Amino acid sequence: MVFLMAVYENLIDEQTQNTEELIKEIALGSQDAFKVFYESTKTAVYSFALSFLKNTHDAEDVMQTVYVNVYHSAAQYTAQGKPMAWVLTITKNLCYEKLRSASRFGQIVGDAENDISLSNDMNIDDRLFAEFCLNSLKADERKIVVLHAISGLKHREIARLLDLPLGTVLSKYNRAIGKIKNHLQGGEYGDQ
Amino acid sequence: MTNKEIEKKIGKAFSNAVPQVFDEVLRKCEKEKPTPQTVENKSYKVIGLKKILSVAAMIAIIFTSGLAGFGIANLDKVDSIISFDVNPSIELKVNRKEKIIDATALNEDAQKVLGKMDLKGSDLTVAVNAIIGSMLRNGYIDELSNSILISVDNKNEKRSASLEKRLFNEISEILVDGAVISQTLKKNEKIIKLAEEYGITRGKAQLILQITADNSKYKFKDLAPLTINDLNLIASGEKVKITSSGKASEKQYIGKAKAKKIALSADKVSENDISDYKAGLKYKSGKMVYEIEFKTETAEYEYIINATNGKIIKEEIERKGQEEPLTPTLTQPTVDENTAKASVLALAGVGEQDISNYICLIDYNGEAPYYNMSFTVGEVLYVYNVDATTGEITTVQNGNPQEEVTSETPSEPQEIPSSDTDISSITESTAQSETEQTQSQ
Repeated sequence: MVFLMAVYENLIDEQTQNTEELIKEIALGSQDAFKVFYESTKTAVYSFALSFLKNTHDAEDVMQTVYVNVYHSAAQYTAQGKPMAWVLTITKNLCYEKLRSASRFGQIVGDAENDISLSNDMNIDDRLFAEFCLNSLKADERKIVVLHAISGLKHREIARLLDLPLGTVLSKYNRAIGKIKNHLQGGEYGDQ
Repeated sequence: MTNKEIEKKIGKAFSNAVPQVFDEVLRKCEKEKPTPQTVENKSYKVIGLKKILSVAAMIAIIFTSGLAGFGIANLDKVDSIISFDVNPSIELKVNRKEKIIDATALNEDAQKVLGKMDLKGSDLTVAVNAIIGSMLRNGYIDELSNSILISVDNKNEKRSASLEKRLFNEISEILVDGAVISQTLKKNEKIIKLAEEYGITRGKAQLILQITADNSKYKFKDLAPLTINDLNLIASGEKVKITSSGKASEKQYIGKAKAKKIALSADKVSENDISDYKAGLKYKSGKMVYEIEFKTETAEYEYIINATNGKIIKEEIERKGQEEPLTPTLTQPTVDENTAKASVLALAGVGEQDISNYICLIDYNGEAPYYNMSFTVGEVLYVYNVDATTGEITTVQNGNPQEEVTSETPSEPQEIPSSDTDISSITESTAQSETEQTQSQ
């Protein structure tokens, strides 16, 4: 298991290279490359949107628009070794747009008072855990933790993406992980 | 738990939340701008799979096929169907020579596991190792959830059994800390129907039916979405007869020891005082719970505790005899506080505006509730007890300068919110010393 993990970690850097190659292919119109790109980035995109909007319908909307955008603007992407940051910036901007249009219609989206409920189709443990991460962490905490855990962005890159000081990102990350660790280890008897 | 493990868990949980929208995305892309395919279709293997496969091959167990020699085999004819369930469900169609004819992902998780792996024509062993490797890499089998179900379907019962045994042993050795359940699929219309209806493999359906057959409290539809790990936990908890090795992981739950602690501390019961202790991990109303029962000399206890976060969902205490009644069984006051207060003030001959430092406590004389009211008028202290059922007033202190009077309260006084005053906190000290405290406004 450890061996497999070590092999997997080596693959992350290969992954950046491969992702950029995929984007080049998408720019040339390759649907296959697009599908592979989608499959390998969809969790990062969706989770980030979810951590922003705390609403499954909105996150799904944003997710679709992200990929349509990627498809059409792949040609404009210049390889700088940061493909994930590129995709997630698109995601972030679309989330802000979603928030703005929602507030125009008087809806409350985003840092909603309401807790999010995920799909019943999910495995129970995963659902409860993901809901905990989304509902019990503060807005910045959940964005940071999701970004770090899922999209592989480094803290520095997260700081740039979210427009926060690096120190803030580090301390919020630690606080968030601490809360999750506490929750997983039972914490106090019940999270009152 | 390390940060890395936590992040892996986050990754797994969220990846299960992602909806499948690719077709819709494609549709939108084509709608806005038709793009011709100018790039020839390459086969994009899952990144690094070659590396994983070579590792898997290294740990593969090579076994001799004892099934050769049945004449010229039709190599495209499906001989056995083998399915793997963890949470991802994968079905392999295998020919007589144990080469893969087809590998199908039966749910989205499985699609992730299979990725772009092309297993057609591979040896069964290689395929099995590749699949297990992928499940490990993607976090579907880990220390929190380590159970895998193998179901073998072959017309020839003997061959079915021997395949099953072989795979069982092989995988048990690969998954050192894993729990492997194996079974031979029975030809059963009900199983096939249920499997189709719930979108699960026949193997999983068969396992669930085994659990529900002996335990009518479980409904098929509630068990269908659970992981094999949870089903394994339930099966061993209910002592269902299955072929299994290893122990299903309970690590994602708080554990029986912790649950016991929670149950005992709820009513402050000491470990030494209990007997007939029973504890089991069960599945109730949509979640995994610990069901804990025990007895003490004075009561019988039953607790249902959420296995994930330790919250007590249900508490049932049956006490033998009622010498010391607890809060829920006490008589509620029928005289309300304001009425009692009014009669006290009348008795004291003072008006509402004359008093300060008003404190009212509810206390119990055995089962009978009464109000203990105290207030000062200038420097003078007044204390009264009012029976909360009859309204009868007993004067404890009337009009003497503040001095210590022993309280007669038999048990802990309780605080009730008063609309007139702010009671910040009532401690166990006597009522008199409290009137000397400054009240926060």
